[in-house]
Parts: sequence; structure tokens; C-alpha cells
Amino acid sequence: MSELRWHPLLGEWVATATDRQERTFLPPADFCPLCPTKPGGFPTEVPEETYDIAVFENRFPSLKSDPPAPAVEGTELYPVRPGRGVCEVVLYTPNHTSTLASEPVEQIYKLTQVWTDRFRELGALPFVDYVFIFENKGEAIGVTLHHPHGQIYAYPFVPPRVARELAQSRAHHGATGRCLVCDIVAEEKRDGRRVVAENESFVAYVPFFARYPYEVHVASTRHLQALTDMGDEELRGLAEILKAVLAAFDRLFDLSFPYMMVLHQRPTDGGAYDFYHFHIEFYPPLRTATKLKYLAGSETGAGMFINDTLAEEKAAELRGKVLPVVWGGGGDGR
Amino acid sequence: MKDEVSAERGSVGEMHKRRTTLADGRYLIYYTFGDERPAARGSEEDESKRGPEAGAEAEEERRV
Ligand SMILES: [Zn+2]
Ligand SMILES: [Zn+2]
Ligand SMILES: [Zn+2]
Repeated sequence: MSELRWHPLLGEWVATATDRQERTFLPPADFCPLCPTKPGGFPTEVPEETYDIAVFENRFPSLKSDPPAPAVEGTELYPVRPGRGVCEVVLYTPNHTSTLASEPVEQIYKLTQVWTDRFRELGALPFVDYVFIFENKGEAIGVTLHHPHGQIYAYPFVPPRVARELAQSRAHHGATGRCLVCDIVAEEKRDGRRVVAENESFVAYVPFFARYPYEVHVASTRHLQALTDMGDEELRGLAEILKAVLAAFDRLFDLSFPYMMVLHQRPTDGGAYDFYHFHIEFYPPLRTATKLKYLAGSETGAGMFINDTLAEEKAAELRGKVLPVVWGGGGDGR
Repeated sequence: MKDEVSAERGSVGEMHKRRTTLADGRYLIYYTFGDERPAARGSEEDESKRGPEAGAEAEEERRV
């Protein structure tokens, strides 16, 4: 069962997904469902013996392309609709013990091409208004499958966080005639203290308004709305800066750094979003090597984040961990 | 800081995409790139061997 229930107080949809399939065959203890299937071995999600990058529909999706009717009837106060959409899993590499951070920059460049293809294909579906590409990494985020992978949710509506960014960007453009993220990028470059890394096509920075200690945003220097607007040099530049930031994260405390990574692109609902600007946001849950930032009363109940660090200092820490990204230099750049 | 990301860029071949259907009807797409040998083509037999029990542990997936 997967359905969308309206939250009238917040004006947003909540997905209710309660599928729990019975587990009839217990796999071996060290079994990874995201590894390629070994010859004669227990079948994984990927039937073949190897792959480079693979994408499949999530076995337990919160949104389905052909969803069943909702289990409850809606009312005027409480509208309900089928949870129509697509949930995909993106396998970054067949190498179980790797991470995106330790993959060669070439593999990250391949991933940017796969992301672009998924954005194009899912965004063309008539019932998909927004393609959301993201990764949850690390036990601190609640991830139990350690095989390097990300996810894609194709929503039948523009999700509220993005809608709010769109509204702010639209208002800024209306008031100034300029793009909000272009202005942010210019301000971060002018100031310089919060810049973590940059190349010809992208800049990475701990934003002035960071809500997490090691929050990093990566924005294109050219004004564009989606991966599909990028040329090949820009995709390579994106791979380079992601590699630089991810490797710096891992060097910070000499551990595999947990994070949420989200891509913010234009909606795919057919509307005009020329005023919006592509960027990627990282929300790492760590405050120190051993301390987590919890979303507590103020963050969760009021929506006001309290960051007990200075973006300028955290950016300097990260910047000190950035090393040159070398093509052909292989993996594990830590 | 511009020097921190070097520009000696290696070559990655053209992207190829192969769409397959799993036993339970879900799709799985293999992406390969020209510089590497493409993954072995899965036959219908291979795909039909895959029972619905395959990868049962992927129940965890909802929590990733
Ligand atoms: Zn694995
Ligand atoms: Zn812009
Ligand atoms: Zn954003």
C-alpha cells in the first residue's frame, strides 16, 4: 500500500507506505542485495555477474508508477491520492567496500551521466513533476546497506522544500532581475572565506546561512537549471568538484564521512523555471568525529536551525583537506 | 584554489544503456561506457531463473 495523505496544517503531502513483504528465504549473514549475483550464489537484486553502474526500481517503493487505490477514503479536510511516482536505486559501483568518495573521478563522471539520463527519462513521464536525486550515506543517517548507492524519487508534485526555494528564487528575480543562486555564488566568491573548492564550472562552499556545521553547497558558475543543460566539460567539472568535496569530507576526521546529498534541479512539470539555478546540497550529521547534530525541538518543531559553529571556520577546515583531483589517478583518493 | 582541482582529464567512453526486466516485473538498467567491456548480455533464461524470493534482504532498502 502506498498513498499520499494531505497535511492541511503544512499544506503538503505525506506518503504512507506500509508494504512489508514476508521474508521467506533468509539470505546468508554477509549477503549484500546490491552486489552482483555470484555464480551459484544467492540471487541479489542484480542478476548478472558484474555491472558498472546499474539502476533498478526499488523493491519497496513509497511511490509506484501503477499504485493501488488508497486504503482509506479521503474527505474534504483530508484529501488522499494514490502514491504515484517512481523510486529507483542507483548502484554506483559493483565494489561493495567502496564509497562515492573513494571512487575514481572517472566513475563519478559516469554517475553524472547516469543521473542526467535518469532526470531526462523520469522527467518525461507525464505523472512526474519532480525528479529528486539523492544519497543517504552512513549509519548515522540510518543506512543499513553499505554498498555504495544512491536513490531517485520521481514525485507527482513539486516537493515543499524545492517549492520554497522556487518561490524565493522567483521573488528575488522579480525584485532584482537577477538569479538568487547566481547572486549567492558571486557573494561567496567575492568573500572567499567560505569557499571550499572551485573549478571552471563549479564552486563548493559552506553557505553563509549553513544550518549544519559541515553543510556544503555545490553550484554551477553558469546559470542553468538542470543536469540536462550541462555540456560534457561541465559534467566533468561536476565530477571533479564532487570528488574534491567528498574526499575532503573523509579526510576531515579520517573516517568515511556520513551525509545526505541532494540535487536541486528545476521541476519537470512543464512550467518555466528560467529563474532557478542547479545546485547540490550536502547535509552531514556530524559536528565532530564523535558527536552528531540532532534535529531537536527548535529544528523539527519550529523550523529554526541552530548551528553552533561558524561557516567561515568550518569552510577553512574543509578547504585545508582538499587535494588536487587527478584523472587517471585511480580510486581511494583519501 | 583553482589549482586544487587539476585539469588533466582522462577519457571515459560513450555511455550505453541496456534495459532488462526482473522476474517480478521491475526494470533494471545496466549502464556501460565505451572504455570497458559491456556486461554479459542476460538471456531470457537467466532472467526467468530469478524467483520472487531473490534479494529478500532488500527489505532494508526502504530504510537506506
Ligand atoms: Zn554489496
Ligand atoms: Zn543563476
Ligand atoms: Zn537547494
